[in-house]
Amino acid sequence: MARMKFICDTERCIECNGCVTACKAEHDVPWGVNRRRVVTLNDGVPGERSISVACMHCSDAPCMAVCPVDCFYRTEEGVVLHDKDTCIGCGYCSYACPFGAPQFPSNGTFGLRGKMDKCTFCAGGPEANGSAAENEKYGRNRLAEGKLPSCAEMCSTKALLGGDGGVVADIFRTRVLTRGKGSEVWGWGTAYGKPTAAKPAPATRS
Amino acid sequence: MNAFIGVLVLSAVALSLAGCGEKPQTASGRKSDQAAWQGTANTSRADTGWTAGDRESWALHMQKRAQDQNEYTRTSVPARASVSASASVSASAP
Repeated sequence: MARMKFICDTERCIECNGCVTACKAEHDVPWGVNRRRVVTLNDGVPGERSISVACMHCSDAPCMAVCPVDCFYRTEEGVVLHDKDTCIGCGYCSYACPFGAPQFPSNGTFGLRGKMDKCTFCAGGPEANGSAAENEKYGRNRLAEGKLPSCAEMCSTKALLGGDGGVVADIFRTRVLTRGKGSEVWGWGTAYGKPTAAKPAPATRS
Repeated sequence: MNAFIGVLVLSAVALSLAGCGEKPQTASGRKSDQAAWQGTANTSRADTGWTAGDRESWALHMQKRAQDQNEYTRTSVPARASVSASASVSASAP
């Protein structure tokens, strides 16, 4: 079974915000909520780098770990989703996420800091696939339509790759070896890597 | 007269407190999701080339679609010939 992953190739991202626009348009995301955004490091300085950031659908997701109402779940394709009917909008996930993925609408139906909203990897939510209820709460379910996330498919330079982890990693590997540079995959180690920190020494009583 | 006012006040208090009454709440918990390979109700938007409800067919279709992001397979520009799976690149498959 596929394990869905995102890779952003910083050598290719031109900060066009096409991914952000595609996401906004596809899911009718409300004003103030950015499921995806483009971050530019060293803006204006020669050698600046831009990165498209959204939920990385972590293998060991910290948002899932801290949610007090257990509204998160992981699909069999490795996509981290949540149930908005269970979410209480506490914001713990927002503090836990290293990518700033969880978003909270500041107005609308639920008022200040409403139900959390985040990238769904275009996989909708726990409502029936393609239903009006799912579309209203989570946006379109492109995976159930046999399509990949809109942001990745709309990326003009193909900096943002989305899909089966093995396939997108192979595409990136071929690219890096062909151009001979830029092997760093932003966020990959954080979201999908294994913990490498040494075990803390056992506490001793003096 | 005082008794009447007392009854009136008590009635008003009882009525106003009724607004604070606890409504029944049922915690249903997180709902279970339908797998993506089972297809969508909105079939007019679904991509062709796979069968809804067939997990393998969906997975193969998604892999094929992911390969469409690889310009080396979409164009005639060849990737570097020395590409090998054992090359040391930080993007290792999960």
